[in-house]
Amino acid sequence: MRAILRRELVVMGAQPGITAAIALHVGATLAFLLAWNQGVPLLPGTNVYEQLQVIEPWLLVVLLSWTAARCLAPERGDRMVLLSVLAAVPPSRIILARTIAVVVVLALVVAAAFPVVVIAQQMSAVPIRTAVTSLVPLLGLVVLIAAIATAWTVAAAERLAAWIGSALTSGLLLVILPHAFLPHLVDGIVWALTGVSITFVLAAWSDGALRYCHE
Amino acid sequence: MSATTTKTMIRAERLTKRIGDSTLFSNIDLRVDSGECLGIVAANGADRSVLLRILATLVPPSSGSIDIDGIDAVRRVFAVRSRLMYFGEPSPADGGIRVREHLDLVTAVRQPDRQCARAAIEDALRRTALPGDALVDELPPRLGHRLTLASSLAAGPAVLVLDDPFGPIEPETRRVFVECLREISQRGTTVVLGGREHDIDSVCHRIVRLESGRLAPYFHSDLVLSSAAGM
Repeated sequence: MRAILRRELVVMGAQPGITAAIALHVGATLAFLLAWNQGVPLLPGTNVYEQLQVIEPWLLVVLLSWTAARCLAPERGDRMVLLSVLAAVPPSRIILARTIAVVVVLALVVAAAFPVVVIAQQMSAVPIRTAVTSLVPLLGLVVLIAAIATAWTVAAAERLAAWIGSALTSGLLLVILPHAFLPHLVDGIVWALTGVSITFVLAAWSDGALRYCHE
Repeated sequence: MSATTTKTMIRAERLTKRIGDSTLFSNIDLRVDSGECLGIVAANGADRSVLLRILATLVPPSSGSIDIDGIDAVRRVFAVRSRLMYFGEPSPADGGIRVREHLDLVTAVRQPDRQCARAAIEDALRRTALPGDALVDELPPRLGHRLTLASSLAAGPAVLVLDDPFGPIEPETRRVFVECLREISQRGTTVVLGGREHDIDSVCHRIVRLESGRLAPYFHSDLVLSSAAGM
């Protein structure tokens, strides 16, 4: 498991998409702060910090889905079976390793914008502890998006389709799953558990569906 | 070969493959011993590839049984894969992976003793003159062939299945390939090699021909290799 996880991390780490995603995330959140200083946008919430917390999950749904679709190792179908034979591990292990690897990368993208969150916290005179704990639900969201994006990259032949499918599915789940106005710790746990469930279902499916190559 | 040490590594019985209405082959029986190098030639290269892919557990047979190293390769396909390696089509995309990392991946399950695995990887790199730090997806074709060899040398699988490894290959790489295949076979690995007669006859102990859906003996030489089973 360790070797296949290392392989997935190396393949993802070699993709230029991660740097772009970090730049986009930091840039988008900074732009939001600058725009808020001009008096727009006017979202529910008493201060810039809260408004940033409201908008962040939706920004991440689009951005993290793109990052995952762009950076995940591209094997699917017969190529996944060949990788399974080469590494002598069942496809379920590859799926698990791939999801863990993408969680690590997406968490990095989320954490990269933390300094901007701290600026918002300072501007709004909110305790720093609040800013730190606000990361937890976002990490739950990372697990959810990672699981959905992994499933879509296995299902869709094109990265673009995987991105759109992943973003739409994640967005839909974000609407369906009950969560507080400002993402809360419990919301993060629900999102993470949903992601873990999706991963296990996908892994169990892969051991049957990706057992053999197509004839 | 010494009868006392010979072990049947591949035993296929009544192997049949049908795709749609067409039967590629039927009721094939095949036995390959430990350390033996078996060549398979065929009038139709596609049928040969299907047979090799079945032996490598990439596709299932329509009926019949295959045991590899005593394990039912149809029922316990994932268990069998740790005992075999297959090379015959482009490897999965290895973007960003270096040669040493690739070898680390293929040996991870097959060589649980990591110290031995690391030594085997370095030995394989030296034998095949492969640069360990080179990126796999940037290797020129001739070094791609050597990566196949290095993987086989380092992992030391019980069974190695190769489909047409001598395609467009330059003489020097071919020489290294043949030498390494002999060594792999002498170490006790069972090698099943698909290709054209003139490509594989200098490596194989035995060659069978797949024709009209049946396997028939084609060539046998007890001069080519020393007895591997006695090693």
